[in-house]
Amino acid sequence: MQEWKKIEDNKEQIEREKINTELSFLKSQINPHFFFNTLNNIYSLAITESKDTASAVMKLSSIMRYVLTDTQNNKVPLQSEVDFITNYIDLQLVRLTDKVKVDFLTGGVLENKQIAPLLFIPFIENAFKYGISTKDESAIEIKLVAKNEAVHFSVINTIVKSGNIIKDTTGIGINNVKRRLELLYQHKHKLTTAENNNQFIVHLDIDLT
Amino acid sequence: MMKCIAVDDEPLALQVITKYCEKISFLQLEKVFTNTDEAKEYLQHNAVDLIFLDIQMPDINGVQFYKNLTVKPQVIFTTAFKDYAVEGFNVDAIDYLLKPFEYDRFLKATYKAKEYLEFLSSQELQLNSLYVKVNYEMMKINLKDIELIEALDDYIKIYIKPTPVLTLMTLKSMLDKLPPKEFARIHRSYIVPLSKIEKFSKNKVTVAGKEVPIGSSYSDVYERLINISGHM
Repeated sequence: MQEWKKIEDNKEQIEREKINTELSFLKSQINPHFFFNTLNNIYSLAITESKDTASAVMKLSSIMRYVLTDTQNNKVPLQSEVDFITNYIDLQLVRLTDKVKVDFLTGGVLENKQIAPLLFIPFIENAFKYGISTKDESAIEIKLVAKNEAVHFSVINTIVKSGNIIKDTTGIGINNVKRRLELLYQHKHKLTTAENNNQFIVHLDIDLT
Repeated sequence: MMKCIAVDDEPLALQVITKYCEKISFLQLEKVFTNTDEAKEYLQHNAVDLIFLDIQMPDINGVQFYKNLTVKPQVIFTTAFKDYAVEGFNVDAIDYLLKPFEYDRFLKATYKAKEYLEFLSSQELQLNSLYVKVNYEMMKINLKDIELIEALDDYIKIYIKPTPVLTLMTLKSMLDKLPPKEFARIHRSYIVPLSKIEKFSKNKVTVAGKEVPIGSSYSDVYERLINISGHM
């Protein structure tokens, strides 16, 4: 009987480790293109002796520290995640033309809340990938509101009709985040996506309890 | 002086190219574009020797953009990712610049373009005539005498005065020998010398008194003729 319990314990332990490994693997999938692009932009800023060079380096540095160190923890303060998103958006804005309008709104109480890191960024990356054009006006609106013990997150972006035929790794990030949500917030999250009036809309609600 | 334009969806990348071009005396950067439609429009109305062209752009990939151009200047692709550079090999690019690129690397690419353009113009000067095989003899044809070239099964018929000549050749290989600025294929069966066109419409041209149809898959010729006539 004792022997049997030991085996069961072992099995559970192995299962947990498997999930942890899977989770850490899934988490590491931030698009490396972003880092390359940002370094390129910083190079451009430096070459043209722009006054924005130093602040861009600081933002990239914060992002890298966050992604490489802080997110090793299973949970991070919600405020840290919001700061990370703010820096990410700022760095994206450096490269865009004024044809695209980007808003990031936060609301509610962000303090004293913990959340699994990097759950929102794949949706934001996607909006920047599909919601920008250099020909037509487009808009990206990102909202994050913390109420009681829940976070409501949404991204609304214009769908840009693209003639771009380059295939890339789109979808991996989204699939990974779906899997992470299943593992971390089973029955505690609601993810919906919709297309409406030429807009792509993502809603993600997470119960943090 | 080489006239060039630069196309990139990111204004910052264009600033770098602008800055570099200012230092190169034989380059004249006419205009920069973030909008590929505007760049295409510009190219339809302005003669340009060279384009700096980003590959990874949100609306259209640079390689595709270049393939769609009716008149193709020389091109130097710029890209942040090696994977994209590979695509560029399918079109004849002068060079590929991997971002971020330093001034020296940029200068080297522009020198390549300069040398290539000089080579092309020296070739064009020499190419006043060519030889074709007619009845077991090589016969010299002066390009300025050609009125029309017609495909006849395995042969082509070159209309020159006083009598047309027949030679065993495909229309495609003939076209490759001719300077592209002076001759255009307008139909599966016809090549015409642009300078001898007397009249043209959307579906036919009159050259040396002969009416020749424009084939449906060669409809961009009309656009080209409009542009040429606009420049005269």
